[in-house]
Amino acid sequence: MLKKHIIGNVFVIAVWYLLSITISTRFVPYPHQVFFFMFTNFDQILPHLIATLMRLAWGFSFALLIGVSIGIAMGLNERIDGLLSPLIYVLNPIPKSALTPVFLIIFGMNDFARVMIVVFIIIFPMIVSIKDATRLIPSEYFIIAKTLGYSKFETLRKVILKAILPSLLSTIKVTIAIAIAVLYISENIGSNVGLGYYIASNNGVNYIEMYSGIVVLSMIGYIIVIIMDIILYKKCKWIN
Amino acid sequence: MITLNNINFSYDEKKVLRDLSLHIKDNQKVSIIGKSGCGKSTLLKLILGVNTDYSGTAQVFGESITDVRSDIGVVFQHNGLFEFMTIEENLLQTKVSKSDVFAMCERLGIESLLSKYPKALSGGQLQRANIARSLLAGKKLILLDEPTSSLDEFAKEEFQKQVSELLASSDFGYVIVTHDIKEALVMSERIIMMEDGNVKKEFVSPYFGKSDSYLSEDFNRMYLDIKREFYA
Repeated sequence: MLKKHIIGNVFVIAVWYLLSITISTRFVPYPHQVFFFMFTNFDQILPHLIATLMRLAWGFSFALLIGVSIGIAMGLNERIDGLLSPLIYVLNPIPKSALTPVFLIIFGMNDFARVMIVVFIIIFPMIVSIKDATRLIPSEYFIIAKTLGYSKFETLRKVILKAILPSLLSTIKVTIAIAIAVLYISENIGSNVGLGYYIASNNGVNYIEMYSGIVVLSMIGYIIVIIMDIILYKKCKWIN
Repeated sequence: MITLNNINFSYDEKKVLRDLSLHIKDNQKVSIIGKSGCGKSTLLKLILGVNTDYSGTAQVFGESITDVRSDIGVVFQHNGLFEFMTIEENLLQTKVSKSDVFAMCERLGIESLLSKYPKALSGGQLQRANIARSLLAGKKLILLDEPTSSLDEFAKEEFQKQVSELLASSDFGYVIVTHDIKEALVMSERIIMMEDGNVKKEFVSPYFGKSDSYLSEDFNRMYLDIKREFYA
């Protein structure tokens, strides 16, 4: 696992060096220049990193809470599924990044709007994935839960949430990249803090700063995917 | 233990159980045999409390069957154990101590599998773990739905040897649905043969709990008699 990550990172950095050499170090600075800047000027990036992380954290928290609840309800109850499915299937394919300005107009140029954008991006794939995962829980499990005397809450905690955990983690892994991309766009509009703002405000001016922002933003997604993999490995041992 | 009077049950307008009446005494060990589609699995699900849309009167321990009950254990053909729990975690759901779990598994020859997940176990081992859970939970009645249908001949005999004597000496009743006449003979005292949603004939097994009877002439004679009736 670790070896694969090292190989992947070495490959990306090698390609980056190649681009710096072939294009121009003015537009594509060397990786070591960017990393050196990042470490020596981290205090400059930190407030932007915190702002972006907070928006992502709130967005994912809301999306998880709402998406998992609705997904489970739809997976367990055909009437709820019948009511909500048409709405979800219509809203899911809408290109959310295109709606970013609309969100900012509706909710205002504030953090709440940016969090709502993240929620809007994640929630639909989350609902669809959790609904499908809930549907796939063998019906025998619910009967066994009853014979074991589980309450409804125990069935939810011990059976449903455990059974859907691999799907949930995998959905987070898939949606994190999209969430970061759209959050980047939203931080470009009417914001003065956040990695999106930091990258955009240095674009065409300070390339090393700009690339530092891109690296930090990419690392957020990368680290979240690694964390999901670790949780998958530790908490979902039955699928390993 | 189980009283059914004039039970009718349909799936999508197809009548599966027809005016079925049956009484199973407390602690009785019963097998239900019959061809595919005769209604034996439907009957088991009705007793279990899954098929509740029936007409007639159905009672378990004197109470009408309206839902799945926690004093009834069940051993399914598939998905009988939670795949996301180890065997030990599955068995500990019965709220007994780890030492009780280990002792029970030792009796069933699966003590070395406690830390494994269900998908790592063979069919026979899974079913023994399934039975261990019902035994640990101290159920008054256990329902077994074709517990050996997915096992090969050797695994089936091994399962019957390890389980039949344990079940025979138990102080609870059980109902096994099976299409295996030999299994019915060694694992139950009473065999109910079903056809077209009703009881066709009943037998009393003198080989109950005697898994070493397979090679005896009398056993095979009775097996053939039941088989003849099965296809009559």
